Amino acid sequence: MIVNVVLAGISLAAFYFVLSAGLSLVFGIMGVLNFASAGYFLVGLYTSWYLLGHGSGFVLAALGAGLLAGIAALVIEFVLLRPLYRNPGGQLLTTLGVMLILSEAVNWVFGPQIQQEPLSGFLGATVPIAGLPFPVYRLVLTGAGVVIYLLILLVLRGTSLGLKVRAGVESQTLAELSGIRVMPLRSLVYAIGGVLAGLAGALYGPFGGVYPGAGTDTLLLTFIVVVIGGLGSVGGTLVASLVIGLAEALVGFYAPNLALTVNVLAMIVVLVLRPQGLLGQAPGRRDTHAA
Amino acid sequence: MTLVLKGVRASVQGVPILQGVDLALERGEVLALLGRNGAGKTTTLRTIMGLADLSGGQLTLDGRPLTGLPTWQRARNALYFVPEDGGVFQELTVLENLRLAGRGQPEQVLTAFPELRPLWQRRAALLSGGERKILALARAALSQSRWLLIDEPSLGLAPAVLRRLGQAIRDLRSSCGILLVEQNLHFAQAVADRYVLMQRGQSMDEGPIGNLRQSPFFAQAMTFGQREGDPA
Repeated sequence: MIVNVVLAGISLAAFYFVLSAGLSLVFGIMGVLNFASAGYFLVGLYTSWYLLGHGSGFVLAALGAGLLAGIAALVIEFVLLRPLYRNPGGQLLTTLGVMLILSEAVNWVFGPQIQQEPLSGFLGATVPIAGLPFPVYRLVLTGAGVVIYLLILLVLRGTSLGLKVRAGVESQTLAELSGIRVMPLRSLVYAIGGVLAGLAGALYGPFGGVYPGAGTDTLLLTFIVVVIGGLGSVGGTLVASLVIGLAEALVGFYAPNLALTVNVLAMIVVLVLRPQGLLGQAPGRRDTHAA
Repeated sequence: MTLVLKGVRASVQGVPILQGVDLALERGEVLALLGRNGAGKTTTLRTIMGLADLSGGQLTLDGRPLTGLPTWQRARNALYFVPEDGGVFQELTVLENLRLAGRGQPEQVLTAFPELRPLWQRRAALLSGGERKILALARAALSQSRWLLIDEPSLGLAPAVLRRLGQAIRDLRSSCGILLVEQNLHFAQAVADRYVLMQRGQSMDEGPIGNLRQSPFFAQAMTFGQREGDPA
């Protein structure tokens, strides 16, 4: 039984990682908590639900969800956020506004009711693990998380573009002093954040349901993961996702009412002992070259 | 081939700092920008790089105005700024820092900076202060920039490291012009060819570094340990 609970925790961690990695990267390069991520999550959630309902396969639906959410993020960045480049407070409020508008738009178009997104065929099946049936979808979720982590790692560590993004995340001023044009990098990272949030939406539908409040319901957990891992650190986001996913599964198994409480407590403990998060940069290390 | 500032005025976050700075830097020379804390030396370098707001005067590179160019474009136009803390990406390795620096292959700097070879894969955050300054100069060399702006390179370094740094700066001089902000008078005199003395955001005097102590503004402008505005 405990094996199944741990595996469920790992699959939850994979979902939290996909959900939070984009938010963490966007914070790293823009310096703002991107509330709009919850809106892009909804775009992905409803896109995949719509596509699945119209005969699409799950992979195509998930890719469509990521693509549409990425395009939405790119447009929002270009039209609304770019003019507020030097106004982080304004950017923060704008992302909050985008989240609220997208939530209300989804509510208006599709209604407030929870839509089920039943999985058919292989994805809806179970396999016996430790003598008990375990949902195949949970294993797929874990695999998706691993693939997305490896892709992010490959881009960030193995390409010239990734090197520039890491430089921009550490210090935009120093990056510009090195001849790197940071503005297109910001747009790109913001769009990637949108794609990841959209993919997370597509992954959430089958086990969490499809409803307008799903974005805000998952937002708190996203923030907890990103704060524990360290803002701007993808590795930290992975570690924090594992901590939160496993804690939620294990505590949820023995004391279901305490699952969220444990997550919040974990965040408070990390903030007290290590305010920059598990793998985040120490305060004052970020962009010391700015005026 | 000259970097020229004429009557440059600039402000930082709305506060006027530079009140009229004149200087001309030729290729192949080291020009030391000297003065007390708060005289506007660092702001002069930041203004050249577009990090402070130019409010008046002229700033030209080889006769072309720099006004309006963003920082990244100035960096690509052969200007390289080494900030006071070394200006290296602490989360990146030595090799990655060099890769971002510019045009050449990172291995090219090993001839001039052999001490970097064993540190190749080390994160810059784990380097000593001296190693970080050497890495910053190696980045500057690799950028093949024609103009280097170096802010307080001697700060907090041991004498042996300082000698190595001075030698590295002199070696770089052959391929570019160097504008050096420095508080350490001995270091400045050992490295620079000419000086410009600054006081209250203005350039007061200039000349060959050997004549520095004869400057009528020397005593006033070089009272160390005091900030502008403190009683002399």
